[in-house]
Amino acid sequence: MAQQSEPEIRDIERFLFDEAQMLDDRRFDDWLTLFTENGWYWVPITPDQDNPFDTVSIIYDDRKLLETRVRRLNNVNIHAESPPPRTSRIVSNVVMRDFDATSLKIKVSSKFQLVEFRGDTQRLFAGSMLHTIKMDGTGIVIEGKRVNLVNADGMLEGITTLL
Amino acid sequence: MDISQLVQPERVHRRIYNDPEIFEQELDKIFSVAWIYVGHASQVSKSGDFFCTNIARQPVVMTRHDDGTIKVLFNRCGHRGAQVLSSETGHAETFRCCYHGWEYATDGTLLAVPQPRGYEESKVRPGDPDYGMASVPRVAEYRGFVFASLSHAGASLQEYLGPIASSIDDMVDRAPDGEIEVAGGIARHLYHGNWKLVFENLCDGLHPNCVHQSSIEAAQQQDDAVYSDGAGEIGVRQMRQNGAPWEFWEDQVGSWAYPFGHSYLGDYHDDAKLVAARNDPSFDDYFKAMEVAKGKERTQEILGVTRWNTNIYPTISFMSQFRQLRVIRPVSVDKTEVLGFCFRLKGAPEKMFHDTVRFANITNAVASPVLTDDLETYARIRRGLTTDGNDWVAMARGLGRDKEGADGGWCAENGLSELHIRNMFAAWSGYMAA
Repeated sequence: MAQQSEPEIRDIERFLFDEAQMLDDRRFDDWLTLFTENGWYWVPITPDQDNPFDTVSIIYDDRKLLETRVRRLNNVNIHAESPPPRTSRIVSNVVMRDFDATSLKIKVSSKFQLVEFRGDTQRLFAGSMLHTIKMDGTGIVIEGKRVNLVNADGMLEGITTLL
Repeated sequence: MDISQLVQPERVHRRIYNDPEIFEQELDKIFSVAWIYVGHASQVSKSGDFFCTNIARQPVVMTRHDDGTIKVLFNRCGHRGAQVLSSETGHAETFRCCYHGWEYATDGTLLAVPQPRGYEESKVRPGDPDYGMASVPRVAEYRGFVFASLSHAGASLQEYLGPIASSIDDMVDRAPDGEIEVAGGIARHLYHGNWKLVFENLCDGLHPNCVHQSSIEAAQQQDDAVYSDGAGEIGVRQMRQNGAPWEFWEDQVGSWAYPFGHSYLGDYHDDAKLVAARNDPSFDDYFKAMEVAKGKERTQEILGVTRWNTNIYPTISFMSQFRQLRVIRPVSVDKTEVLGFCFRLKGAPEKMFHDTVRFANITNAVASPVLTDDLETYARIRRGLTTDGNDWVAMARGLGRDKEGADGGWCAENGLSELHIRNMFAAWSGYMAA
């Protein structure tokens, strides 16, 4: 099998920017299609959390739970999103790590800041993301997405916004 | 203000939820008097381990002393009053104040004062109780659950718990080795609402079908064939169970209440993957471990106890089926902190604990698809109760149909009753009138 060279950083950045825009636009079904069939989405309870299995998480969704979570966000009777939040996110400091030329997997770290407004309250979330992505024939897919909030272990109020 | 006028048999005055003066009185008359859950003994398993929390908003620390006993100290230096321990959990041979270096033993005894010259004419000496980290007046433990009271007098912990101690038994007896331990981190959140709301909600059988409609429907529509690492299975099943029809709650689920405001709700689950008593093969390794340790008959007896949330008023709510504990800490009249803990059953297969973590993620995590709708409801109650349109908040469901039990408690007509709320306000009135 022919080995492929490392992808261009601007293609990776473009992918992350598109993902952020999808979430700001509340195109949750489109966002879900970015994940592989075994994809996972993880927001740890502490930034250094080792694994999602023996410690609680803010979110740890396998594909099944992620589908349910997205379907709930689309449900008209979601009280916690009535009215729905508006969000604006900035993604930056994108760095590619651990490119595997055989599996075409790559880890991408980035920073984000997310402003959320709902009802009468504006909140700021910030932290880093680690995407495990794969180049398949048609583009980029997410095998896993880890989001480390700087205040993951702080006293937070309810979060419905996808980070 | 006459507090006794605020509680009627089927309704309470809204000031109970939104008056800052009443909240201050609650700190003095309830949280500074009652037995308050501080932590679990396993959080301080070795001498020098500590866990910091608060009682009636006052910082305290639970420590394990050299002699093996558990102490609960006010987290305050005997010198100038600085908080001595600043991290929530940790281990230290001695506790040293950041300000002038006063050093304390793990039972709060003052050990050493740097530069002791200059204190000759005063009473400041190592060992002087006036200058130690003071102990809270009373500390007691029931099967690893550590409680403390800021009051020197009052009912013993045993009297206070009464028959609700059986819910702690239910939790601990499920461990094949007869012991449980706190593990898996703390799922914490803050909500905008009075501290009583979460207790009322946790034994409220009527709310899930309304409040959790979005997650129930989303889970009901989930394709079961989708299976990645299996982590979502427990969560999806739990969300579906919240949609149990009201007839089920009326026919199958009970609700019980006891003195001092305690109560529990019967289990409303009929999914064999979620309830060990239903003998699903996924529990086989656990059954074996239990039967080896306790025998077949005793195992059936233990697992046959089907309780959902137990509230020990006014600080904890817990549940044995998935080994969860919530600690409720009032911050102000309209702000409340909740800390969610998981228990590991010692001697049980590790899969049981992973299921405990998965369950916590879907029920206690701040981004849970279930919890977030509860928190939204509390916020709406807070806003709704600011109106002058109606001063009263009802707790009338099932009124007049409660049956007194032989154990000194009451059994509600069914799992949709608001008996647990009426019972909490009976205790509330008693505390506040004292």
